[in-house]
Amino acid sequence: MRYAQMIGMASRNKLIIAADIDRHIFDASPLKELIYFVNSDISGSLVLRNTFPVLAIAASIAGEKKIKVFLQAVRSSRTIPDVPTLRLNPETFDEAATLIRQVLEGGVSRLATFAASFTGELAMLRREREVLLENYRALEDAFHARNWEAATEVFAHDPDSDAKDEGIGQVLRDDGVEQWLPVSSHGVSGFALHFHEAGGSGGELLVKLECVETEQRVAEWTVPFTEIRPEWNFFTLAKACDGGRRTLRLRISTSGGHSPELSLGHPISNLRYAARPEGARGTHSHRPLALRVFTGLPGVRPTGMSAMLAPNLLEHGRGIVDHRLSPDTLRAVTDVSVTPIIPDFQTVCFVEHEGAIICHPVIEGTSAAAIRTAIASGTIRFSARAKIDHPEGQPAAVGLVMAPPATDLRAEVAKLAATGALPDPLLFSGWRKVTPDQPVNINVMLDAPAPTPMDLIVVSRAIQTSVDFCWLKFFDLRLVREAGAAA
Amino acid sequence: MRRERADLITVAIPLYGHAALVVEAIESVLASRTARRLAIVVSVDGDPCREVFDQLTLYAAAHGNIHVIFGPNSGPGGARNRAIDYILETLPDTKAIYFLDADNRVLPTTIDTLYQRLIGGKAGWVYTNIDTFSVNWRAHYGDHYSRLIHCIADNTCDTGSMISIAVFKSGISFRSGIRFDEDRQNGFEDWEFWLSCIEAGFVGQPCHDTAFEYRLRAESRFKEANRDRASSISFLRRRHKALFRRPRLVDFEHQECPRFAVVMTGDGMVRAFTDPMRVPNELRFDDAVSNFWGSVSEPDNIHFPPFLAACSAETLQLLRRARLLPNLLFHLERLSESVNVVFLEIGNVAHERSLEHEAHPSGACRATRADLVLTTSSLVREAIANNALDWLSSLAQEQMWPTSATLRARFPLPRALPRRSCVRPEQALMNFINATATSPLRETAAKRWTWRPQKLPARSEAYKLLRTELKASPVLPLGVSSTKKRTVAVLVPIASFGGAEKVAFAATRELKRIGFETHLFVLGSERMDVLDEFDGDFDYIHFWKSGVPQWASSDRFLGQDFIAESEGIDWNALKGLLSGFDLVINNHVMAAHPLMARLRSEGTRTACYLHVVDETTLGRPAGQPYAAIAHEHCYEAFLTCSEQLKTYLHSFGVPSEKIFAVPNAPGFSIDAAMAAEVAARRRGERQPGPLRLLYMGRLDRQKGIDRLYGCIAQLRDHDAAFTAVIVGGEILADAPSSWSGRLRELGCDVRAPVFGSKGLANLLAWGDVLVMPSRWEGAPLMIAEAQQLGCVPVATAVGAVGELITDGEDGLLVDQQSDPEIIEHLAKAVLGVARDPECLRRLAEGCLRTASGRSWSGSFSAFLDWCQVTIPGAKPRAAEPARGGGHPATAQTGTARTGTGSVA
Repeated sequence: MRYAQMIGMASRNKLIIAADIDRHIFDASPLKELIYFVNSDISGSLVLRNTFPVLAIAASIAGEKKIKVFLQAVRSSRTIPDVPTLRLNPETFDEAATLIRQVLEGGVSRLATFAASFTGELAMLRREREVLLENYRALEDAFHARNWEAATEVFAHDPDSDAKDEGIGQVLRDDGVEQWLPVSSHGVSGFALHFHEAGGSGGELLVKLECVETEQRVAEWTVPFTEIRPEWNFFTLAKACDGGRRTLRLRISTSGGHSPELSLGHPISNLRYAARPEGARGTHSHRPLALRVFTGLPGVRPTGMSAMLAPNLLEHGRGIVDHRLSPDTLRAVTDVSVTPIIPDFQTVCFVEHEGAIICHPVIEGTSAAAIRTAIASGTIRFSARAKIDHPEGQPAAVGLVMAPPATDLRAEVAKLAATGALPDPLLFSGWRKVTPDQPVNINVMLDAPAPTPMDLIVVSRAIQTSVDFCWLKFFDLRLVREAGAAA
Repeated sequence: MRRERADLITVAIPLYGHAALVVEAIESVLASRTARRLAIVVSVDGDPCREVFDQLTLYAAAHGNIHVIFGPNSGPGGARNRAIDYILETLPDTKAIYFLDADNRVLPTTIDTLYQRLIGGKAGWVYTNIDTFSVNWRAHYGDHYSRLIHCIADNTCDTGSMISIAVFKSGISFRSGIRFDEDRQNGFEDWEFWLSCIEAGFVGQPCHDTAFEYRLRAESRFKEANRDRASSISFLRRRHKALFRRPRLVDFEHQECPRFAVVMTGDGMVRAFTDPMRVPNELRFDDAVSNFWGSVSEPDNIHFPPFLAACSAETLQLLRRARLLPNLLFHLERLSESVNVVFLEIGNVAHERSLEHEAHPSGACRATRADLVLTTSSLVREAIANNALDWLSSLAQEQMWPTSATLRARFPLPRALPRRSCVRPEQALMNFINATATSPLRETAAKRWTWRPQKLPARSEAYKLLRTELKASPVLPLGVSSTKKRTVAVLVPIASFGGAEKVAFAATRELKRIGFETHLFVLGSERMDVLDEFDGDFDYIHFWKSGVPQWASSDRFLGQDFIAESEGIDWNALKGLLSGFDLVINNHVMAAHPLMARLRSEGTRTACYLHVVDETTLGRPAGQPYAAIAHEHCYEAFLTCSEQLKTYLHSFGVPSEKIFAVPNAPGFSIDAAMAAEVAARRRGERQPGPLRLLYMGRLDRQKGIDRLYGCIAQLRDHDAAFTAVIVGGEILADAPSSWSGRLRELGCDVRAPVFGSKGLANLLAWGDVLVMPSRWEGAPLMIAEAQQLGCVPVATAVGAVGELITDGEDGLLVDQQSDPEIIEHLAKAVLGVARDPECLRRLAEGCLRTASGRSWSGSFSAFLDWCQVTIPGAKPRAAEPARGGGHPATAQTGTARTGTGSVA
C-alpha cells in the first residue's frame, strides 16, 4: 500500500505533438487533451514538461513541415527517441483520431500501469539482492577465517550504583524508558541489561528493539518479572541483524506488580545516549542504562549472564508504530455506562495529571468509558493497564471493547452486560479481575489491521457486593499499528 | 468545516547517467510512509539513454504525482534549477523540496521524518548523516549544525536534504530566490548552494532520526570533484567572498564554537564567547563541566572553548569600556601559545594607554594580584590526564610552576573604580579545574557513544581552522558590528602628539561621523598618549608591537627602503589584527604595506595617508611616500595633506583619480566663548606693549632652530620691542650644544612642550606672531591652529606651507634661500609687524577669516564621498549638498592652494 497521497492528474501528460497551426483542427477532436502543440520557431533550449512524444500528428502539409522541424530539435536533446509522424487523412480523420486515443489511453496506459507494478517489484528485489550479497560475503569471510565467535561483546557500560536510582521502576511503569545503543546494528545478536533487583510477581517487562532510521521493529520481548534475574540478563535475537548499519533503540516499560530495578550506568556527556523517560522528552539525566551489546550467533548465552530471554515477537521488516493515546484523545472520553444506579460522584473521567481514564464500577450494571475513533486504522493490537489505586479497594472486573464507528455504544454495553459477550465485528478482550495487589494488562489482538478508525470502550463492573474504595484507573492505553497506515 | 489539505512535499530528482537506477529512486519515494502529499519531479538533464524516456513515460502514465521535465544537458545544478522553477510555477503549494539523486534512495520514513523536523524548527533545511551502500561508508555529521565548519572545513550537508520552499522564494520575486550554480567549473555545486543559503541567512539542522541511502561506487562524480578540490574551493571562496571575511566567520564562531570560556568569580557561571562585545552564552558551572568532558569524548558533537579564563564581571566591563578588550584577548591568546598561564594586570594612569608583557619561567614568584587569568583547555586536559593538578594549581600560589606571562594594561580608569571581586580569578579558575577533574564524567570520557565515525573536525579546534582560512594567527575576536556599521582601521606607527597622527585621528572622527565603527591600530608601539581632542572618536583601540619595525629595508625601490614579505615579521599576527575591515587607512606604518594586497583581495578597501617627504642629513629626499609608492598597486586611494604632494605622487605613477588632497585643519578646536573673545581682541586696537613672539615645535635642525636663534639675535640687535616664548623640547638633540640654554641667553622664555588643547590655545591666543623657520615641512597643523586664534604665522615657504598661508593676507612667507638670507628676512618680517600694529591687526583678521572657512569636514569631503560610494553597505550621506561633476579626488574647499618649493 502506498500511503503518500497522489496529487495532480495524469491527464496533464501529453503523448502526441502537433503543430500550432493545426490547433484549430485538433482542438475539435478527441485528441485535444493529449496533444502538445509546438511552434517550429524554437529559440533557446528546448525543454519539455510532462510531454512524452510517442507520436507526432499533422492535419495539414504545413503542419507536417513544422512538426518535422521541431522533431529535428527534439532529436538534439538525445533523450527522446525518434518520433513517427502521421498526417491524418481528412476523410478518415475522426476514425483515426478516435483510434489513436483508444490506443494511447487504453493500451499504453494499461501497459504503463502493468510495467510500473513490476518495476516496483524489481526495485524491491534489487534491494534484497544487495543485502544478500553483502551477507553472503560476510559469511564467506567468516567461514574462511574460521572466526565463528559464538558471542562477541562489542560494547559494555557497567552499572553505577546510586541510591537515587531506586525510583527507576516507577519511571518504567509510568512512562517507559528509551535508550539508544552506541553501536551500529551490524551483526548484533543480542544485548544485556543489568538489574540490581529482580521484580515481584504479577507483572511483565516489555522490551522493544527498534531501528531508529526506519522505525522498524527488530524484536520484542515480553518477560514476566519472575524470569528476570538480578544482574545481567541477556536478550537474544532470533537472528542477527544484517549488513545494513542502523541505529538501534530500546524501549523498555513494565506493567503491573513490583517492577524490577534496572541499573543505570556511569554518567556520560552525550545526552542523546542517556536513558530518558519516553513520555517526557527533555528531562534527560546524564545516565545511560548499564548495558552490553553482543554480535555473533543468536541464542548463544554469553558468559556471565544470569538469564537469557528469547523474543516473543519478531516483526522484522514490518513497519510498526507503537504509541500511547494522546491526552487530547483521552480528554474526549464520555460516559456510556449502563446501570440503574445514579452515583453521587462522577464514575467516568480523564485525570490529566496521571494520564489515566477513571472508570469506577458501580454495584449494579456496567460502567463504560468511550472514546470515539480512538483506535486508528491499521491498528493490530491495543493494550491498557488497569489498576485499583487504593490499598483497601474492592476487586472488580475490567475489559476493553473495540467497536466500528457509528455503533450505538450504550446499546452494545447493555448487550455485554446482559450476555457477557459481543457479536462481530465488535472485539471484546474478555473480563479480567483486578485487585489492589494485582494490576492487570489487557491486550486485544486483531487478526488483520483495522481497516478504519474504531471506537474504544473501557468497561468495568463489580464482582463482589461492594465497590468500596475501588478507585479503578486505566493507564498506558497504547496501540500498535502498521506504520504509515492512515491514522 | 473545511478540511485542510495535507502539506505538499516535492521530491526533485535530477537525472543523467543513471537510467538503470532511477527506477529505484522513484520507487523508494513512492514507498514513503507519510500523511503528507508527495509529488516527484524528474528533471532529465539531456541524458542520452533512450530507456530514460521509456521508463519515465510509463511512470508518468501510471502515477499522477510524477512530473517529468526533458531538457538539454546543463549539469546537476542546471537540472535541479529546472526542477525548482517547475515546482514554483506548477506546484505552488509545495512546502518543501527534497533533492534525491537518481542513483540514491530514501527510506520509507525519510521524507516524513525530515519534513516533521523542518516544520518543527526554524531551519532552512534539514539534513541527515550519510550512510552509503554498495561501497559501505558512513559518517556522522555532528549533533549541531555549524555555519563556521560548513564554510571553512567541509560540505557538511548532502543535497539529499529537506529544504524549505522559503529558500527558493527568498529573493525579491520567487524567481530570484536561491538556486544552484550552473558553472561547470564548480565541482561542488551542492556546497556552493549551501553557502548561498548561509549568506541569505538560512541555517541547517541535523536530523539523526532518519537517513537516506547513498549509493557509493568505486568511482563517482564526487570523487572526480575531490581530485580538483583546491580549485573548486578557490571557486567557492571567490563566489562567496563576503562569507569568508573575518567578522562574519567570527560571528559564526561566537555562536557555534566560542573561543573563550570565562569563569566568573562572582557567580561561578561560565561565559562562553568569541566576540566579547556580543551577548555570551551563559553556561551553568555544571553544564560547563559536562561540556568539557563531552568535548573530549565526542569532539565533533560537544564543544568546550579552547581557552579557559577567569575574572570578575566588573573586569570584563572595565576592559570593554576601555575599548581594549578584543585586543587584550588577542594578546592573551597569543601569549598562551608560548607559556602555560597568562595573567592580566590592570593599572591606572591618567594620560596614556599602554600594554606590555613579561614572561616568567617555571618557579617564578608573583607578588601582584591578577585581574584575569587565562590558560588553554588542552593544558587543563593534559594536567588532569597526567595527575598534574598540584603543578597546575600553583598558579594560585605565590610561587608557581607552570611557565607564565603577565600582560600589563595601563589606561585611565573611570573616576568611580569598579567593585573588586572577593574571589581571586586564579582561585575561581582552579575551582573549575578541580571540579572538572573530579567529575564522574571523567571516567567515561574515553568512550565515544555516537557510533558513526567522526567526519567533522573537533569543534574546539575550529579556531585553528579559522586561522588557516584567514591565514591569520590569532584572529581578532570581533564579529560583525552589532550596529551593522561599516568598519575602518586606522593604522599609525605611534600615537602621540605629532601632526601626522592628529590628521589620521581627524580622518577617523570624520569617518565616525558618517557612520563608521572606528578602530585605531598602534603598530610598532605599545603605548599611546591620550589626546582629549580625539580620544572619544575611537570605538576600539589596538596595540601590536612584537616584531613590527618602524623602519626596515628588505629591498630598494628607486633607492628607497621598503619592507617586503620576506622580512621576518609575524605576518600572520598582523593579518589576524587587520583582516576583515571594510576600510584600512595606513598612516605611515611601513610594515603594513605588504599586507594590503591580501586584505584588498579579501574585500577590504585600502587607503594610504601620506604627509611629508623627509630629507636625510645630506639632503636626499626620503621617507614614507616612497615605500607607499612601491606598493601603489595595493591601494585604492591615497590621501595627502597638500596638492603639492598629490602632484608629486602623480609624478611617480599614482593616478590622479586615486589621490585625495586633504588640506589640514586645526588639530584642536576652541570653544565659542574663547573664539569670540580672541576675535574681538585681535580685531580691536592692540594694547601698547612689546610684540609677543611665539615659537612652538621641536628644537632641532628640521624645524630651523638655528634660524630662529639667528632671527631673535638680529631682533635684539635692532632693539626691537618683543617678548619671545619658545615652547618645545630637544627631542632629537642634533646640535652640539643646548638650544634651550642659548635661547635663554637671548632673553627668551623657554618652556617645556605643551600637548593639551587648552594649553596650546592659551599660548596661541597670547602670541602675536608664530615663527616657523623650518627647513622642510608637510602642511603643518600649527599654522592652521595659529590662524584659528589670530596668531600670525611667519614661516619659511617649504612643503605645503604656501598652501596654508597667503603671503601678506593671513601670514608672512619667507622664501627658501640661504640660511643668512632667511634669518634676515624673518627678522625683517617680525620687525615689520612689531612696528606696524595696524599691519599686525590686518594680518590677524586675515588669519581669522581664513580659519573660519577651514574645517576637517570640508577637507575630507571628497574622500568621504568616495567611501560612501565604494564601500559596500554605504548609504548616501544625508544633509550633504550634491557635488558637482568635477574631479572626484580633488579637495573642493576654498583653502586649497598651490604652492611651490619643496615637496610636501
